[in-house]
Amino acid sequence: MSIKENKIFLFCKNYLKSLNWIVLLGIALFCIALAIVNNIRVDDAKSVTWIGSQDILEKPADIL
Amino acid sequence: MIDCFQPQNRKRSIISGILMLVATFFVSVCVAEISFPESILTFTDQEWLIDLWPKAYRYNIQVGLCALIIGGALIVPAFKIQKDFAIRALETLCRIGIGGMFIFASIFKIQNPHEFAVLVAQYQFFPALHLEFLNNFFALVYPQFELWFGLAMIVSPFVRESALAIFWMFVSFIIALGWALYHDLGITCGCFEIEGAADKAETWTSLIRDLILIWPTLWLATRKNKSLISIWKASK
Repeated sequence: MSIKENKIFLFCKNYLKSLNWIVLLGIALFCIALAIVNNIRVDDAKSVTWIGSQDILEKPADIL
Repeated sequence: MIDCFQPQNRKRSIISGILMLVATFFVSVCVAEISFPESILTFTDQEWLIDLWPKAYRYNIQVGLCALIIGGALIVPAFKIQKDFAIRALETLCRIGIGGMFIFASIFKIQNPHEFAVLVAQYQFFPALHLEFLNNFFALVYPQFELWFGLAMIVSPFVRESALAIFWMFVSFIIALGWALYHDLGITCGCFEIEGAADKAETWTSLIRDLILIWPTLWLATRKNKSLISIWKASK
């Protein structure tokens, strides 16, 4: 590993160490919980199944 | 009192502040031109301009980029005149601007998860990774990330964490838009409204906007964790 690569690696390592992971993961978990609540809250027409996908619509013919 | 508000620096701070405000106006024009046609800051679809020059609306990207260059050019003298003030102002404006944009972008997606899930499916990204089953879950969770990390960027001191999350969201938008353009999917980004329009130019404009906004987000991710109010207090 060259000196430059080593510096970048060290910067990234120190940067990741400086982050407050509890806050980051806390917000992420909070978002997942709220996503579940939101899907229950909205009308049936607007909610989706937890696991699955949607149909792919036909590509419009008049693409600019 | 912070340095930039000391009596000897006050005049320079005011000039720097005026330059930053004008720069903010130009950057807002850039965002409006690229992302929000028919908004109050969009010049290329003003009726008087269309009357004079009917093809003006086609040049929204060019006008937006020119406005961005002018805005960027105004930040340079603002930094030279009073660096301390300009850095604080820039951080404040970036946090409010980017955070606010993410909050705004999340609202319609949270209100209608089904429509957003349909839009996400049109990218055909998950099927390509054999992760089709994640489409709906992604469409449910992603807008919440946008809302709460956008909010955290404005109201919480955790700017590094929220900016890093938003940075990775920008990376995902860039990948998705690049994917859509590469595969000629003919879909718009759906960043601020769900629409079935088929305008490739709009995908390009969204890609350009994201490529511009990712840089201030990366800069924010390297700043010290401070609340918006603490930015304007003297550091101990």
